[in-house]
Amino acid sequence: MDEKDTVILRELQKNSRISARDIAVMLEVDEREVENRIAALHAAGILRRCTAVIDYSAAGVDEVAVILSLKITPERGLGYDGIAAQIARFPQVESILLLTGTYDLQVIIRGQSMAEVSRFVAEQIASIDGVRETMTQIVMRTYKEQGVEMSRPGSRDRQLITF
Amino acid sequence: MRNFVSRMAAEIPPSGIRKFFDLLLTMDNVISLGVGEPDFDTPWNISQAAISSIEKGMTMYTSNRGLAELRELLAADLDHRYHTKYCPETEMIVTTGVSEALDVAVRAVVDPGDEVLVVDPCFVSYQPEVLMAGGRPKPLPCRAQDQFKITPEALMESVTPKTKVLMMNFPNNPTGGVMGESDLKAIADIVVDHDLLVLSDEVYGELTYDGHHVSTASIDGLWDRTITLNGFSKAYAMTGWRLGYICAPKEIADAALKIHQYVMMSAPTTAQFAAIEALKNGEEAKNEMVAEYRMRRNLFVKGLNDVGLPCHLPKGAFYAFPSIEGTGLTDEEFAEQLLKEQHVAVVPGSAFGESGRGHVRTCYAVDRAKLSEAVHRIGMFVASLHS
Repeated sequence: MDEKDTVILRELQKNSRISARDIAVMLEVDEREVENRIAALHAAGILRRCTAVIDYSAAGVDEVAVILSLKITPERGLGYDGIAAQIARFPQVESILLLTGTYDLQVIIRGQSMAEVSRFVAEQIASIDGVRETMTQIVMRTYKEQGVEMSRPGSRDRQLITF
Repeated sequence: MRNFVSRMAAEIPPSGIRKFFDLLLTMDNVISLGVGEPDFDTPWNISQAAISSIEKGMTMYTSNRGLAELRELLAADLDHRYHTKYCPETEMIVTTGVSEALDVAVRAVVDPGDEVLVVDPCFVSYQPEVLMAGGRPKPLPCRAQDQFKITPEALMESVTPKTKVLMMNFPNNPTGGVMGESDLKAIADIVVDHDLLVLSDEVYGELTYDGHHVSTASIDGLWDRTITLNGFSKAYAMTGWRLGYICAPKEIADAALKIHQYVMMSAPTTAQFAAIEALKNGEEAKNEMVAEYRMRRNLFVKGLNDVGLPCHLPKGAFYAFPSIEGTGLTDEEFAEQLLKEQHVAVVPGSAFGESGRGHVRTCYAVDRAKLSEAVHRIGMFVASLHS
Protein backbone atom coordinates (compact mmCIF):
# COMPACT_ATOMS: atom_id res chain seq x y z
CA MET A 1 0.00 0.00 0.00
CA ASP A 2 1.39 3.38 -0.99
CA GLU A 3 0.03 6.91 -1.01
CA LYS A 4 -1.87 6.41 -4.27
CA ASP A 5 -3.60 3.30 -2.89
CA THR A 6 -4.61 5.28 0.17
CA VAL A 7 -6.17 7.98 -2.01
CA ILE A 8 -7.98 5.35 -4.11
CA LEU A 9 -9.43 3.74 -0.99
CA ARG A 10 -10.55 7.05 0.40
CA GLU A 11 -12.17 8.00 -2.89
CA LEU A 12 -14.05 4.69 -3.06
CA GLN A 13 -15.12 5.10 0.53
CA LYS A 14 -16.56 8.52 -0.28
CA ASN A 15 -18.15 7.45 -3.56
CA SER A 16 -18.09 3.79 -4.47
CA ARG A 17 -19.38 4.56 -7.96
CA ILE A 18 -16.45 6.74 -8.97
CA SER A 19 -14.93 5.52 -12.23
CA ALA A 20 -11.36 4.32 -12.62
CA ARG A 21 -11.07 6.88 -15.40
CA ASP A 22 -11.87 9.78 -13.09
CA ILE A 23 -9.51 8.53 -10.42
CA ALA A 24 -6.80 8.25 -13.07
CA VAL A 25 -7.24 11.88 -14.12
CA MET A 26 -7.32 13.03 -10.52
CA LEU A 27 -4.16 11.15 -9.61
CA GLU A 28 -2.36 11.95 -12.87
CA VAL A 29 -1.80 8.26 -13.73
CA ASP A 30 -3.30 6.07 -16.45
CA GLU A 31 -6.60 4.27 -16.13
CA ARG A 32 -5.04 0.83 -16.40
CA GLU A 33 -2.89 1.49 -13.36
CA VAL A 34 -5.94 2.45 -11.29
CA GLU A 35 -7.78 -0.71 -12.37
CA ASN A 36 -4.78 -2.83 -11.44
CA ARG A 37 -4.44 -1.17 -8.08
CA ILE A 38 -8.13 -1.68 -7.27
CA ALA A 39 -7.90 -5.33 -8.28
CA ALA A 40 -4.83 -5.78 -6.09
CA LEU A 41 -6.55 -4.13 -3.12
CA HIS A 42 -9.48 -6.53 -3.59
CA ALA A 43 -7.21 -9.53 -3.89
CA ALA A 44 -5.32 -8.58 -0.73
CA GLY A 45 -8.58 -8.39 1.20
CA ILE A 46 -8.01 -4.71 1.94
CA LEU A 47 -10.88 -3.44 -0.18
CA ARG A 48 -13.74 -5.62 1.02
CA ARG A 49 -16.86 -4.17 -0.49
CA CYS A 50 -18.02 -0.96 -2.20
CA THR A 51 -21.36 0.02 -0.81
CA ALA A 52 -23.90 2.81 -0.35
CA VAL A 53 -24.96 5.01 2.55
CA ILE A 54 -28.75 5.18 2.66
CA ASP A 55 -31.01 7.42 4.69
CA TYR A 56 -34.14 5.25 4.81
CA SER A 57 -35.99 7.80 6.87
CA ALA A 58 -35.66 10.28 3.99
CA ALA A 59 -37.42 7.71 1.78
CA GLY A 60 -40.20 7.39 4.35
CA VAL A 61 -39.32 3.77 4.97
CA ASP A 62 -39.84 2.66 8.56
CA GLU A 63 -36.83 0.65 9.44
CA VAL A 64 -35.74 -0.33 12.89
CA ALA A 65 -32.20 -0.48 14.10
CA VAL A 66 -31.21 -1.61 17.55
CA ILE A 67 -27.93 -1.70 19.35
CA LEU A 68 -27.61 -4.85 21.38
CA SER A 69 -25.02 -4.99 24.13
CA LEU A 70 -24.05 -8.48 25.30
CA LYS A 71 -22.17 -9.90 28.26
CA ILE A 72 -20.45 -13.08 27.20
CA THR A 73 -18.81 -15.91 29.06
CA PRO A 74 -15.67 -16.57 27.01
CA GLU A 75 -15.25 -20.14 25.74
CA ARG A 76 -12.16 -22.11 26.56
CA GLY A 77 -9.64 -21.84 23.72
CA LEU A 78 -11.86 -19.54 21.67
CA GLY A 79 -12.46 -16.54 23.88
CA TYR A 80 -15.17 -14.41 22.28
CA ASP A 81 -14.48 -15.51 18.71
CA GLY A 82 -16.79 -18.51 18.57
CA ILE A 83 -19.87 -16.67 19.77
CA ALA A 84 -19.08 -13.62 17.63
CA ALA A 85 -18.78 -15.89 14.59
CA GLN A 86 -22.16 -17.51 15.36
CA ILE A 87 -23.85 -14.11 15.64
CA ALA A 88 -22.15 -12.89 12.48
CA ARG A 89 -23.95 -15.55 10.44
CA PHE A 90 -27.31 -13.82 10.77
CA PRO A 91 -28.03 -11.46 7.86
CA GLN A 92 -29.96 -9.15 10.22
CA VAL A 93 -26.72 -8.39 12.02
CA GLU A 94 -24.99 -5.40 10.52
CA SER A 95 -21.95 -5.12 12.74
CA ILE A 96 -20.33 -6.76 15.75
CA LEU A 97 -17.69 -5.09 17.84
CA LEU A 98 -15.73 -6.40 20.84
CA LEU A 99 -15.49 -3.71 23.48
CA THR A 100 -13.83 -2.93 26.78
CA GLY A 101 -16.09 -2.04 29.70
CA THR A 102 -19.32 -3.39 31.14
CA TYR A 103 -20.49 -5.19 28.03
CA ASP A 104 -18.35 -7.36 25.79
CA LEU A 105 -19.99 -7.27 22.39
CA GLN A 106 -21.91 -4.53 20.66
CA VAL A 107 -24.18 -5.82 17.89
CA ILE A 108 -26.13 -3.62 15.50
CA ILE A 109 -29.25 -5.24 14.10
CA ARG A 110 -31.65 -3.96 11.45
CA GLY A 111 -35.15 -5.13 10.72
CA GLN A 112 -38.48 -4.09 9.24
CA SER A 113 -40.35 -3.75 12.53
CA MET A 114 -39.81 -3.71 16.25
CA ALA A 115 -41.69 -7.00 16.56
CA GLU A 116 -39.37 -8.65 14.09
CA VAL A 117 -36.23 -7.39 15.81
CA SER A 118 -37.53 -8.33 19.30
CA ARG A 119 -38.31 -11.84 18.17
CA PHE A 120 -34.89 -12.15 16.58
CA VAL A 121 -33.07 -10.99 19.70
CA ALA A 122 -35.08 -13.18 22.04
CA GLU A 123 -35.07 -16.31 19.92
CA GLN A 124 -31.73 -16.19 18.18
CA ILE A 125 -29.30 -14.16 20.25
CA ALA A 126 -30.31 -14.35 23.92
CA SER A 127 -30.55 -18.12 23.66
CA ILE A 128 -26.96 -18.62 22.56
CA ASP A 129 -24.91 -20.49 25.18
CA GLY A 130 -22.47 -18.11 26.79
CA VAL A 131 -24.65 -15.00 26.40
CA ARG A 132 -25.21 -14.03 30.02
CA GLU A 133 -26.96 -10.71 29.71
CA THR A 134 -28.40 -8.48 26.98
CA MET A 135 -29.27 -4.81 26.82
CA THR A 136 -31.26 -3.61 23.83
CA GLN A 137 -31.34 0.03 22.76
CA ILE A 138 -33.45 1.35 19.92
CA VAL A 139 -31.85 3.80 17.50
CA MET A 140 -34.06 6.87 17.42
CA ARG A 141 -32.23 8.89 14.82
CA THR A 142 -29.03 8.65 12.80
CA TYR A 143 -27.05 11.88 12.68
CA LYS A 144 -23.93 10.70 10.93
CA GLU A 145 -23.04 7.46 9.26
CA GLN A 146 -19.83 6.48 7.48
CA GLY A 147 -18.76 10.09 7.41
CA VAL A 148 -22.07 11.37 5.99
CA GLU A 149 -24.02 13.87 8.05
CA MET A 150 -27.63 12.78 7.61
CA SER A 151 -29.36 15.64 9.33
CA ARG A 152 -27.65 18.47 7.50
CA PRO A 153 -29.01 19.92 4.30
CA GLY A 154 -26.81 19.28 1.29
CA SER A 155 -26.25 22.84 0.20
CA ARG A 156 -25.74 26.08 2.01
CA ASP A 157 -26.48 29.65 1.24
CA ARG A 158 -23.67 30.90 -0.84
CA GLN A 159 -23.28 33.94 -3.03
CA LEU A 160 -23.61 32.97 -6.69
CA ILE A 161 -20.91 35.34 -7.88
CA THR A 162 -18.02 36.62 -5.81
CA PHE A 163 -14.69 37.88 -7.05
CA MET B 1 -30.24 70.08 -3.31
CA ARG B 2 -26.58 69.64 -4.13
CA ASN B 3 -25.22 66.38 -5.44
CA PHE B 4 -23.56 65.05 -2.33
CA VAL B 5 -21.71 62.17 -3.95
CA SER B 6 -17.98 62.79 -4.13
CA ARG B 7 -16.32 63.04 -7.49
CA MET B 8 -14.10 60.11 -6.59
CA ALA B 9 -17.04 57.86 -5.73
CA ALA B 10 -18.93 59.00 -8.80
CA GLU B 11 -16.01 58.33 -11.10
CA ILE B 12 -14.97 54.97 -9.78
CA PRO B 13 -16.18 52.38 -12.31
CA PRO B 14 -18.76 49.88 -11.01
CA SER B 15 -17.85 46.22 -11.08
CA GLY B 16 -18.41 45.08 -14.65
CA ILE B 17 -21.08 42.44 -14.53
CA ARG B 18 -24.08 43.92 -12.71
CA LYS B 19 -26.46 43.11 -15.57
CA PHE B 20 -25.26 39.53 -15.67
CA PHE B 21 -25.66 39.21 -11.93
CA ASP B 22 -29.25 40.47 -12.08
CA LEU B 23 -30.07 37.89 -14.72
CA LEU B 24 -28.55 35.19 -12.54
CA LEU B 25 -30.85 36.02 -9.65
CA THR B 26 -33.93 35.33 -11.76
CA MET B 27 -32.91 31.77 -12.63
CA ASP B 28 -33.35 28.37 -11.01
CA ASN B 29 -31.21 25.27 -11.03
CA VAL B 30 -28.05 27.23 -11.68
CA ILE B 31 -24.66 25.62 -11.15
CA SER B 32 -22.46 28.51 -10.22
CA LEU B 33 -18.79 28.38 -11.11
CA GLY B 34 -18.78 32.11 -10.46
CA VAL B 35 -17.72 32.06 -6.86
CA GLY B 36 -14.35 33.04 -5.46
CA GLU B 37 -14.29 31.07 -2.25
CA PRO B 38 -13.83 27.53 -0.94
CA ASP B 39 -16.93 25.33 -0.71
CA PHE B 40 -15.66 23.69 2.48
CA ASP B 41 -16.85 24.66 5.92
CA THR B 42 -14.20 26.20 8.16
CA PRO B 43 -12.59 23.19 9.92
CA TRP B 44 -14.60 22.64 13.07
CA ASN B 45 -11.71 22.91 15.52
CA ILE B 46 -11.09 26.44 14.20
CA SER B 47 -14.74 27.47 14.61
CA GLN B 48 -14.77 25.86 18.06
CA ALA B 49 -11.75 27.90 19.18
CA ALA B 50 -13.59 31.07 18.19
CA ILE B 51 -16.77 30.01 20.00
CA SER B 52 -14.78 29.17 23.08
CA SER B 53 -13.05 32.58 23.03
CA ILE B 54 -16.49 34.23 22.99
CA GLU B 55 -17.63 32.05 25.89
CA LYS B 56 -14.62 33.22 27.87
CA GLY B 57 -15.56 36.81 27.18
CA MET B 58 -12.55 37.54 25.01
CA THR B 59 -14.41 40.01 22.85
CA MET B 60 -12.47 43.23 23.44
CA TYR B 61 -10.37 45.15 20.90
CA THR B 62 -6.94 43.73 20.37
CA SER B 63 -3.73 45.69 19.89
CA ASN B 64 -3.87 47.64 16.61
CA ARG B 65 -1.35 45.23 15.18
CA GLY B 66 -3.37 42.19 16.23
CA LEU B 67 -2.95 39.61 19.01
CA ALA B 68 0.73 39.11 19.85
CA GLU B 69 0.34 35.33 19.93
CA LEU B 70 -1.15 35.35 16.45
CA ARG B 71 1.68 37.48 15.04
CA GLU B 72 4.31 35.29 16.64
CA LEU B 73 2.72 32.16 15.19
CA LEU B 74 2.45 33.86 11.80
CA ALA B 75 6.08 34.93 11.80
CA ALA B 76 7.18 31.37 12.57
CA ASP B 77 4.79 29.96 9.96
CA LEU B 78 6.01 32.30 7.20
CA ASP B 79 9.62 31.57 8.03
CA HIS B 80 8.99 27.83 7.99
CA ARG B 81 6.86 27.81 4.85
CA TYR B 82 8.39 30.51 2.66
CA HIS B 83 11.69 31.35 4.36
CA THR B 84 10.67 34.97 4.79
CA LYS B 85 11.56 36.63 8.07
CA TYR B 86 9.32 39.31 9.54
CA CYS B 87 9.49 40.72 13.04
CA PRO B 88 6.10 40.09 14.68
CA GLU B 89 6.37 43.28 16.74
CA THR B 90 7.31 45.76 14.04
CA GLU B 91 6.77 44.30 10.59
CA MET B 92 3.37 42.69 10.74
CA ILE B 93 -0.22 43.97 10.97
CA VAL B 94 -3.31 41.76 11.20
CA THR B 95 -6.11 43.18 9.05
CA THR B 96 -9.79 42.74 8.31
CA GLY B 97 -9.34 40.43 5.36
CA VAL B 98 -6.78 40.89 2.62
CA SER B 99 -9.17 43.52 1.24
CA GLU B 100 -8.31 45.89 4.06
CA ALA B 101 -4.64 44.93 3.80
CA LEU B 102 -4.75 45.92 0.13
CA ASP B 103 -6.37 49.28 0.84
CA VAL B 104 -4.01 50.12 3.69
CA ALA B 105 -0.92 49.03 1.77
CA VAL B 106 -1.84 51.04 -1.33
CA ARG B 107 -2.58 54.15 0.68
CA ALA B 108 0.65 53.74 2.62
CA VAL B 109 2.81 53.96 -0.50
CA VAL B 110 0.92 55.63 -3.35
CA ASP B 111 1.00 59.41 -3.80
CA PRO B 112 -1.37 61.22 -6.15
CA GLY B 113 -0.07 60.83 -9.68
CA ASP B 114 2.11 57.81 -8.94
CA GLU B 115 1.93 55.15 -11.58
CA VAL B 116 1.13 51.65 -10.37
CA LEU B 117 1.60 48.66 -12.63
CA VAL B 118 -1.24 46.26 -11.99
CA VAL B 119 -1.01 42.71 -13.20
CA ASP B 120 -3.75 42.08 -15.77
CA PRO B 121 -5.98 40.11 -15.49
CA CYS B 122 -6.39 40.57 -11.75
CA PHE B 123 -8.78 40.70 -8.84
CA VAL B 124 -11.37 43.41 -9.47
CA SER B 125 -10.36 45.64 -6.53
CA TYR B 126 -6.81 46.42 -7.58
CA GLN B 127 -7.41 49.26 -10.02
CA PRO B 128 -10.12 50.95 -7.93
CA GLU B 129 -7.86 50.79 -4.85
CA VAL B 130 -5.14 52.62 -6.75
CA LEU B 131 -7.63 55.16 -8.10
CA MET B 132 -9.05 55.82 -4.63
CA ALA B 133 -5.52 56.59 -3.43
CA GLY B 134 -5.11 59.07 -6.30
CA GLY B 135 -2.65 56.85 -8.15
CA ARG B 136 -2.67 55.95 -11.82
CA PRO B 137 -3.16 52.23 -12.44
CA LYS B 138 -1.56 50.84 -15.56
CA PRO B 139 -2.25 47.28 -16.68
CA LEU B 140 0.66 44.87 -17.03
CA PRO B 141 -0.56 42.25 -19.49
CA CYS B 142 -0.10 38.55 -18.74
CA ARG B 143 -0.94 36.22 -21.57
CA ALA B 144 -2.18 32.68 -21.97
CA GLN B 145 0.90 31.64 -24.00
CA ASP B 146 3.07 32.60 -20.99
CA GLN B 147 0.83 30.63 -18.59
CA PHE B 148 -0.33 34.07 -17.39
CA LYS B 149 3.02 34.86 -15.76
CA ILE B 150 4.73 38.24 -15.73
CA THR B 151 7.54 38.03 -18.27
CA PRO B 152 10.60 40.31 -18.09
CA GLU B 153 9.74 41.52 -21.61
CA ALA B 154 6.22 42.57 -20.68
CA LEU B 155 7.49 44.28 -17.54
CA MET B 156 10.20 46.16 -19.46
CA GLU B 157 7.64 47.29 -21.98
CA SER B 158 5.23 48.65 -19.36
CA VAL B 159 7.56 50.22 -16.81
CA THR B 160 8.19 53.99 -17.11
CA PRO B 161 10.18 56.48 -15.05
CA LYS B 162 6.92 57.35 -13.25
CA THR B 163 6.25 53.78 -12.14
CA LYS B 164 6.50 53.38 -8.37
CA VAL B 165 4.70 50.15 -7.52
CA LEU B 166 4.20 46.74 -9.11
CA MET B 167 1.00 45.19 -7.82
CA MET B 168 0.67 41.48 -8.34
CA ASN B 169 -1.16 38.40 -7.20
CA PHE B 170 0.24 34.89 -7.65
CA PRO B 171 -1.19 32.28 -7.62
CA ASN B 172 -3.50 34.47 -9.62
CA ASN B 173 -7.19 35.13 -9.46
CA PRO B 174 -8.64 34.69 -12.14
CA THR B 175 -6.07 32.71 -14.16
CA GLY B 176 -4.56 30.24 -11.66
CA GLY B 177 -1.13 31.25 -12.99
CA VAL B 178 1.84 31.10 -10.63
CA MET B 179 5.28 32.71 -10.54
CA GLY B 180 7.93 30.15 -9.62
CA GLU B 181 11.35 30.97 -8.25
CA SER B 182 12.97 31.40 -11.67
CA ASP B 183 10.06 33.56 -12.89
CA LEU B 184 10.45 35.88 -9.91
CA LYS B 185 14.24 36.01 -10.26
CA ALA B 186 13.80 36.95 -13.91
CA ILE B 187 11.89 40.12 -12.99
CA ALA B 188 13.82 40.95 -9.80
CA ASP B 189 16.58 42.88 -11.58
CA ILE B 190 14.08 45.04 -13.42
CA VAL B 191 12.28 45.77 -10.15
CA VAL B 192 15.57 46.79 -8.52
CA ASP B 193 16.88 48.75 -11.54
CA HIS B 194 13.70 50.81 -11.70
CA ASP B 195 13.57 51.19 -7.93
CA LEU B 196 10.06 49.73 -7.68
CA LEU B 197 8.11 48.50 -4.70
CA VAL B 198 6.28 45.17 -5.12
CA LEU B 199 2.86 44.74 -3.58
CA SER B 200 2.51 40.98 -3.56
CA ASP B 201 -0.89 39.51 -2.74
CA GLU B 202 -0.21 35.86 -1.92
CA VAL B 203 -3.58 34.86 -0.49
CA TYR B 204 -3.67 31.78 -2.75
CA GLY B 205 -0.10 30.80 -1.87
CA GLU B 206 -1.07 27.68 0.05
CA LEU B 207 -3.15 26.53 -2.91
CA THR B 208 -0.18 25.70 -5.09
CA TYR B 209 -0.38 22.27 -6.69
CA ASP B 210 2.78 21.49 -8.54
CA GLY B 211 5.75 22.38 -6.40
CA HIS B 212 5.67 24.94 -3.60
CA HIS B 213 4.66 28.55 -3.44
CA VAL B 214 7.57 30.98 -3.61
CA SER B 215 7.06 34.21 -1.74
CA THR B 216 8.25 37.35 -3.54
CA ALA B 217 10.03 38.64 -0.44
CA SER B 218 12.19 35.50 -0.34
CA ILE B 219 13.94 36.43 -3.59
CA ASP B 220 17.37 38.03 -3.22
CA GLY B 221 17.16 41.81 -3.28
CA LEU B 222 13.37 41.98 -2.98
CA TRP B 223 12.64 41.68 0.75
CA ASP B 224 13.14 45.36 1.53
CA ARG B 225 11.09 46.46 -1.45
CA THR B 226 8.14 44.10 -1.01
CA ILE B 227 4.88 44.34 0.88
CA THR B 228 3.47 40.86 1.37
CA LEU B 229 -0.29 40.49 1.73
CA ASN B 230 -1.83 37.24 2.83
CA GLY B 231 -4.76 35.89 4.81
CA PHE B 232 -6.74 32.96 6.09
CA SER B 233 -9.69 33.01 3.69
CA LYS B 234 -8.58 30.62 1.01
CA ALA B 235 -6.17 28.23 2.72
CA TYR B 236 -8.41 27.55 5.74
CA ALA B 237 -11.83 28.12 4.16
CA MET B 238 -12.39 31.21 6.30
CA THR B 239 -13.69 33.83 3.84
CA GLY B 240 -16.46 35.11 6.11
CA TRP B 241 -14.15 35.57 9.08
CA ARG B 242 -12.43 38.48 7.33
CA LEU B 243 -8.85 38.00 8.42
CA GLY B 244 -5.68 38.93 6.56
CA TYR B 245 -2.30 40.44 7.27
CA ILE B 246 0.38 42.76 5.94
CA CYS B 247 4.09 42.06 6.24
CA ALA B 248 6.49 44.83 5.30
CA PRO B 249 9.78 46.42 6.30
CA LYS B 250 9.38 48.57 9.43
CA GLU B 251 9.13 52.02 7.78
CA ILE B 252 6.35 50.90 5.50
CA ALA B 253 4.64 48.87 8.24
CA ASP B 254 4.68 51.94 10.49
CA ALA B 255 2.97 53.99 7.79
CA ALA B 256 0.43 51.24 7.14
CA LEU B 257 -0.25 50.90 10.87
CA LYS B 258 -1.27 54.57 11.11
CA ILE B 259 -3.86 54.10 8.38
CA HIS B 260 -5.04 50.78 9.80
CA GLN B 261 -5.52 52.20 13.28
CA TYR B 262 -7.59 55.12 12.00
CA VAL B 263 -9.79 53.14 9.64
CA MET B 264 -10.13 49.80 11.39
CA MET B 265 -8.64 50.02 14.90
CA SER B 266 -8.11 46.28 14.99
CA ALA B 267 -9.11 43.19 13.07
CA PRO B 268 -12.07 41.17 14.39
CA THR B 269 -11.02 39.64 17.70
CA THR B 270 -13.01 36.42 17.38
CA ALA B 271 -11.50 35.77 13.98
CA GLN B 272 -8.02 36.29 15.42
CA PHE B 273 -8.63 33.53 17.96
CA ALA B 274 -9.85 31.31 15.15
CA ALA B 275 -6.68 32.09 13.22
CA ILE B 276 -4.49 31.10 16.15
CA GLU B 277 -6.16 27.68 16.13
CA ALA B 278 -5.76 27.50 12.35
CA LEU B 279 -2.01 28.02 12.65
CA LYS B 280 -1.65 25.63 15.56
CA ASN B 281 -3.88 22.79 14.44
CA GLY B 282 -5.13 23.53 10.94
CA GLU B 283 -2.39 21.99 8.85
CA GLU B 284 -4.01 18.62 8.27
CA ALA B 285 -7.39 20.01 7.27
CA LYS B 286 -5.68 22.47 4.96
CA ASN B 287 -3.65 19.75 3.29
CA GLU B 288 -6.78 17.68 2.75
CA MET B 289 -8.56 20.57 1.10
CA VAL B 290 -5.56 21.31 -1.11
CA ALA B 291 -5.39 17.65 -2.18
CA GLU B 292 -9.09 17.74 -3.02
CA TYR B 293 -8.75 20.96 -5.06
CA ARG B 294 -5.91 19.45 -6.98
CA MET B 295 -7.93 16.37 -7.92
CA ARG B 296 -10.89 18.50 -8.92
CA ARG B 297 -8.61 20.69 -10.99
CA ASN B 298 -7.33 17.69 -12.91
CA LEU B 299 -10.83 16.43 -13.61
CA PHE B 300 -12.27 19.81 -14.46
CA VAL B 301 -9.49 21.07 -16.71
CA LYS B 302 -9.46 17.81 -18.64
CA GLY B 303 -13.25 18.11 -18.94
CA LEU B 304 -13.00 21.63 -20.35
CA ASN B 305 -10.35 20.64 -22.87
CA ASP B 306 -12.39 17.56 -23.86
CA VAL B 307 -15.50 19.63 -24.63
CA GLY B 308 -13.47 22.00 -26.79
CA LEU B 309 -12.50 24.88 -24.50
CA PRO B 310 -8.69 25.05 -24.51
CA CYS B 311 -7.43 25.58 -20.99
CA HIS B 312 -3.90 25.67 -19.58
CA LEU B 313 -3.37 23.63 -16.42
CA PRO B 314 -3.54 26.22 -13.64
CA LYS B 315 -0.86 25.57 -11.03
CA GLY B 316 -2.51 27.43 -8.19
CA ALA B 317 -5.68 28.98 -6.71
CA PHE B 318 -8.98 27.26 -7.57
CA TYR B 319 -9.76 28.77 -10.94
CA ALA B 320 -9.54 27.52 -14.48
CA PHE B 321 -9.42 30.18 -17.17
CA PRO B 322 -10.31 28.56 -20.48
CA SER B 323 -10.21 30.39 -23.80
CA ILE B 324 -13.61 30.67 -25.44
CA GLU B 325 -12.34 32.38 -28.59
CA GLY B 326 -12.93 29.28 -30.70
CA THR B 327 -16.67 29.60 -30.11
CA GLY B 328 -16.85 32.85 -32.04
CA LEU B 329 -18.48 34.59 -29.09
CA THR B 330 -17.11 37.32 -26.87
CA ASP B 331 -16.56 36.34 -23.26
CA GLU B 332 -19.60 38.37 -22.18
CA GLU B 333 -21.80 36.74 -24.82
CA PHE B 334 -20.49 33.33 -23.89
CA ALA B 335 -21.22 33.81 -20.19
CA GLU B 336 -24.68 35.23 -20.80
CA GLN B 337 -25.76 32.58 -23.31
CA LEU B 338 -24.31 29.74 -21.25
CA LEU B 339 -26.29 30.98 -18.28
CA LYS B 340 -29.52 31.36 -20.26
CA GLU B 341 -29.27 28.08 -22.13
CA GLN B 342 -27.57 25.69 -19.71
CA HIS B 343 -27.88 27.47 -16.37
CA VAL B 344 -24.17 27.47 -15.65
CA ALA B 345 -22.69 30.68 -14.26
CA VAL B 346 -19.13 31.67 -15.15
CA VAL B 347 -17.50 35.10 -15.03
CA PRO B 348 -16.43 36.83 -18.27
CA GLY B 349 -12.64 37.20 -18.28
CA SER B 350 -12.81 40.85 -19.29
CA ALA B 351 -14.28 41.65 -15.85
CA PHE B 352 -10.71 41.08 -14.61
CA GLY B 353 -9.00 43.29 -17.17
CA GLU B 354 -8.31 43.64 -20.88
CA SER B 355 -5.98 40.62 -20.96
CA GLY B 356 -8.81 38.45 -19.68
CA ARG B 357 -10.86 39.08 -22.79
CA GLY B 358 -11.65 35.90 -24.72
CA HIS B 359 -11.58 33.81 -21.54
CA VAL B 360 -13.99 32.98 -18.75
CA ARG B 361 -13.20 32.40 -15.11
CA THR B 362 -14.53 29.15 -13.74
CA CYS B 363 -14.11 28.23 -10.09
CA TYR B 364 -13.67 24.54 -9.31
CA ALA B 365 -14.19 24.94 -5.55
CA VAL B 366 -17.53 23.25 -6.17
CA ASP B 367 -18.44 19.70 -5.23
CA ARG B 368 -17.47 17.07 -7.75
CA ALA B 369 -20.97 16.00 -8.77
CA LYS B 370 -21.86 19.59 -9.65
CA LEU B 371 -18.53 20.09 -11.34
CA SER B 372 -19.03 17.14 -13.64
CA GLU B 373 -22.62 18.19 -14.38
CA ALA B 374 -21.27 21.67 -15.20
CA VAL B 375 -18.75 20.21 -17.65
CA HIS B 376 -21.54 18.23 -19.27
CA ARG B 377 -23.71 21.32 -19.66
CA ILE B 378 -20.83 23.45 -20.97
CA GLY B 379 -20.14 20.68 -23.49
CA MET B 380 -23.75 20.74 -24.70
CA PHE B 381 -23.60 24.50 -25.01
CA VAL B 382 -20.34 24.50 -26.98
CA ALA B 383 -21.65 21.72 -29.26
CA SER B 384 -24.84 23.70 -29.92
CA LEU B 385 -22.74 26.62 -31.19
CA HIS B 386 -21.08 24.47 -33.83
CA SER B 387 -24.26 22.91 -35.17
